[in-house]
Amino acid sequence: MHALVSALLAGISCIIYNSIYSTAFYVNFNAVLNMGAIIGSCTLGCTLMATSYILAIKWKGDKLIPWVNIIISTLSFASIVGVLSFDLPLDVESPEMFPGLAIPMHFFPALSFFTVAPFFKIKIS
Amino acid sequence: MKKTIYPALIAIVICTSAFTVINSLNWKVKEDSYSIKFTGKKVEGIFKELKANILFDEANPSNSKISATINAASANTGNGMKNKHVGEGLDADKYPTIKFESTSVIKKGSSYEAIGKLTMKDVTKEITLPFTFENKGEEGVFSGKFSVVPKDYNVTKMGTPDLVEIQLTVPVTK
Repeated sequence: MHALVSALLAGISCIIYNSIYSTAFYVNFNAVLNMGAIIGSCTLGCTLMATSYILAIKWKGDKLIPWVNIIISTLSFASIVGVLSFDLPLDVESPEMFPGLAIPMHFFPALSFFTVAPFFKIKIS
Repeated sequence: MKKTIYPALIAIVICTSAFTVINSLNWKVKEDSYSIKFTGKKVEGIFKELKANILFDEANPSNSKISATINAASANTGNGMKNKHVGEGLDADKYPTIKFESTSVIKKGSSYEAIGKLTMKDVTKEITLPFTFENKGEEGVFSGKFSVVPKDYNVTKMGTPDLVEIQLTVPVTK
């Protein structure tokens, strides 16, 4: 449930950001960054984060959660390397504007996950 | 009166037919349809902003003349950082155009070769550009492929491939 809510929040944030960025800078990257890709990526990312939380709690209780948070943040930062090295299709205009759109989106899943975390009490079974 | 009119008419007809011949040799590039693709190790992309004067006579290639310029800063690799590196490698600020000017065009079997001078970063080298021409009546397509060694043109920025293949597809109209 935590994963779904944070994925939804991250997905909506990404879609709104995409719309604002595209309008403000007259760019269109829908060929590579469409709604389906955004929602899918956010869902996958948040599901992995929730899974890591569950596994950490099952193994060592709450003690590992801060370290899991550090790993999630580090991986979010590391993922921007993929954006910087990504080659867009050659018919897409203004490829230099793509990192400005895609890099912030890589932080939205973790941001939304940490934001809604206090609403979800994870029970240790 | 008739003695002057008839030669004058003949002269007009000859001049007009000559103009028709020259016009049929002159091909104009179809904007937004052409493709100038470059491929090297770890980098590939296209050049945009081509301007060309193509005087091409299929029947007599030796009467042909091809000159073209490309905006060196118009390279697009799909990646903003790579675009910047290509522009810096070509020193596009200082040398904004890449030029080709043919000195002769010869027929080679079913295709042609344009021998001419390629100028990049103020270095001019003679190259042979093999190409084919597909005649579709009022339209046609020039297609060609050749290789360039960037170091020969002082393009030595780190990461520049040793060999770059250029592939041209240029649709034209009369």
